[in-house]
Amino acid sequence: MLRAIVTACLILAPVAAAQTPDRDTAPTIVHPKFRLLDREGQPVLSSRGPVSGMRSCGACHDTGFIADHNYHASVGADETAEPGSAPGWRPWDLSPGLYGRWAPLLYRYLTPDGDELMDMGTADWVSAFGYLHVGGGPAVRSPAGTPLTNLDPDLPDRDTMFLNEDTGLSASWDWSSSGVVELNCFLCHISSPDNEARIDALRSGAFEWASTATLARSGLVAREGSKWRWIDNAFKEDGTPESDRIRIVPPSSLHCGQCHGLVHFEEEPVIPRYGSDRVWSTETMGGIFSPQLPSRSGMNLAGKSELNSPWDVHAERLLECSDCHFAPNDPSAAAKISASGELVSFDGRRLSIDEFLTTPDHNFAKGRSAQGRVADHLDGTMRRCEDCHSTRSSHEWLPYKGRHMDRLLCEACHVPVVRAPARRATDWTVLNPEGGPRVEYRGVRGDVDDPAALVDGFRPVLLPRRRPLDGGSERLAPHNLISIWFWIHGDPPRPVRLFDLRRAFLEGGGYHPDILRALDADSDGRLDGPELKLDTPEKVDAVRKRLESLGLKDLRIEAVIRPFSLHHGITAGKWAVRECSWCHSRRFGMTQPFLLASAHSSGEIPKPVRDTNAIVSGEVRIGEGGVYYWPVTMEEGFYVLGHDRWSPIDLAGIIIVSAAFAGALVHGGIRVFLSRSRRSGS
Amino acid sequence: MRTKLYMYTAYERIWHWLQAAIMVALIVTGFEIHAPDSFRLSGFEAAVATHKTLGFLLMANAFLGMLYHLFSGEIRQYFSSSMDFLPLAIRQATYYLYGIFRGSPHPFVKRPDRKHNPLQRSVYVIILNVLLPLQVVTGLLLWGAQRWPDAVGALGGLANIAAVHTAGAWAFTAFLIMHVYLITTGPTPLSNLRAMITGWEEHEIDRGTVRKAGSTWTPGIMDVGSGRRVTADEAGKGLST
Repeated sequence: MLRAIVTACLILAPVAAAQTPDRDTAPTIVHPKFRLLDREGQPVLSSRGPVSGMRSCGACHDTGFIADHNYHASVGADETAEPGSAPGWRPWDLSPGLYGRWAPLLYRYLTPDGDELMDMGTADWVSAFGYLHVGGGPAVRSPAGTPLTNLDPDLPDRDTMFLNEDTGLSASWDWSSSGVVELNCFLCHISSPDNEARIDALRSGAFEWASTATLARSGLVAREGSKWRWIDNAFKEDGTPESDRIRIVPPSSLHCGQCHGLVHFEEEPVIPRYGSDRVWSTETMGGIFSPQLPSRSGMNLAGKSELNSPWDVHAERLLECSDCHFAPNDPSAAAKISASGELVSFDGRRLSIDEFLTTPDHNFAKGRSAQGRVADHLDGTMRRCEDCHSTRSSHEWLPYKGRHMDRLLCEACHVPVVRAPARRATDWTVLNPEGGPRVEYRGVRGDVDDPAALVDGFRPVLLPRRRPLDGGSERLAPHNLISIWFWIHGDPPRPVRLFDLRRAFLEGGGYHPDILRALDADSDGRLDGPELKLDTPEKVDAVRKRLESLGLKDLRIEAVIRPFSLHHGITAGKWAVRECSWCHSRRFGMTQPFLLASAHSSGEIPKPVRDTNAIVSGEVRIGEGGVYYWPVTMEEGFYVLGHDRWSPIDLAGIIIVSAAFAGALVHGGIRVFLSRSRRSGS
Repeated sequence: MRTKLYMYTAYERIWHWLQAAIMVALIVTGFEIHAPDSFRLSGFEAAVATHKTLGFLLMANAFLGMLYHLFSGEIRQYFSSSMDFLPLAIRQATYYLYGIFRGSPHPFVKRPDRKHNPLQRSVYVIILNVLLPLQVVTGLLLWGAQRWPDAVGALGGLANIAAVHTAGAWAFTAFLIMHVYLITTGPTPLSNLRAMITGWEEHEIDRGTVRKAGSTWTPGIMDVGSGRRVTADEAGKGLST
């Protein structure tokens, strides 16, 4: 049966591929009818329970294999270790992934077992960060492999406890009531997943309904309170959905964009929304994956009418994320990942298409970004520029081609500027009235939410990327740097919980009187922009006292710089860097100071995070208008002619040449003078 | 008797001026590469291309010069077996620091077989055997970094190599300034320069010179008064005993 289906797919696939991709009617693949089953394998129409993708899709696909070979599901849960035990980890980091690795921008942390104060248990994590997680992994099983629903609720650990936001104390979570979040196949494989409904279900704690909520747009289910009701007449008699209720499509960039950032293929002008972690790569890197021209966007871009290069040239050329981040056992993908050693550049042994459709490896090929550390063993498996482009022959014009390509990532010249704003600084030492941090953006003059604010973009900073373990050299890549300030307390150190911060700052719908007294310079009862920062020791002390009054001890402010390497927003042709002086000069050069923040808390100078492959070895200095990062590339082995100089040698050279010149002048002058004296004397 | 001696052959003069022009151009383009923000003449890219080409020209010229000096025996000009090198060098230094101001006669009399005073000889040996090869090697490594990354890495990377190359460039610049000034310290301020252009240098000839001329030279003495070439004997007759 499966072979027959696969054969039909193979026959019809070229027809679909030849069509002009239409985002409203995404490429169609032939997929057999299927019944929606619940976790017990019963049709949802009869059980009325939440749908299980693992069961429904598992009728044909090996969903167990898919869930087990899936770092989007495990997000580091399979790499957990003792807190802070791996190089570069913070003392409260439990893994290298979203589950366990502290993301200071998201702030809340998965609390190590045994901590007196709990910030997040696994249930909190699912509720708070589940919007970035496809389900499965830690949302189904503990890192030890025990199903969450089988855990003994009397054993207090992060999998069984959650933070009671009324009391600030941990309490036992009832997994049997919330259910778990199974791997959500529908999120990436149907044409119109309802991600908002899914997130609502997660945030409300109705975890097992998350997959069902994803089908909300299909008309198969309707919301009833916190639960969902299956609509009988949307199903056929055999229990399968009416035709076209669920259309299975190949995963597209739009699917990835649900969690990763703004992907825009519509006619409407691009208008990114900021201040939300929902558009993560847009927020952190200004990334917009769209074929649209910036000149047609809805943003007030500087020089807008001339910006006629698409937001991302790969989007314009109709590439999808999966073209580069492919399933490693996809027989239609060049099996770069399956090359077995240096003697083989291509492994011809590939799965048949039906084998692949049964067991598609969801450990997608990935790169080596500065920010992502999960599944490091897959680093560098993705399709890089040189795997598709004839970089050597297309850069004949480039002097010292080998040298440039050996020391620069393609992105260094092909992401010369980021046209959209991106996060510059996040200050968790203070809270805004909504209970969030003070945030700064780069690339925009004014408020990022103000449509009239001029968006002038920014030039990323070039940082060396650490040499990969499998060879190669350190290469310069464009980065955005985000500085984050936050409070730490106790020993072993932990971030001050968001719960405690909010208690310290906010009271009765406004700021706490002690906070207002210290920070409200104009006594208007509000903390407006410039007031919301701890720029004097007195303000720091006032907040510290508030936190101490909550029982927190040994409070101090820490600050970090987190680099985000830029690999999207690719531009080409005249929009890419061709001017030597872009790098080979000091005036325009690559080591221009990079503003980290316009304000800084308590004078604490941010230090680079250690869990990154970017080498952030420049200097951080307080200068006019804020804190700056001054890149230094020479000490990292990058000697850039016209840019890097040995100052002592130049100083000695100037002295020697000046001395020679002065010596000649003085010696010659005396000679002439004495010669004339002698002549006049004689 | 005031005479002119044929001091520099045509090849030596062409070699010298070519080398000088290349060195000046290398210094100028090198400076543009080194500090493009401070000095712009042709632009960074053109400066790199020109510098590279000039570097190879300099190498070729230096190599031809080396062959010439080896096969013509002119290399002996730079190496003296004389034991009085140090006293002569001290005399020369004393002259530059003191005698030259008093109008004292030059302590060293140039001859076609002994063109350089002891100080010159030392400097030229250092320039041609240490500084020039150092610049050539470091320049080659900078040029060939992408061809020989291991060699560049073994020497500490581009930064170290560029540091040496830059230091050498400063030294060459200082040398050039001193060299241009010191050519004015001949019998007349322009006689050395003229000699390097025409080959002939004006001299108050002495017996030693004549003796040497009579034994080794093809006629290379010119009577300044008549403007005709004279033999060593004729030149010698004009000298007082």
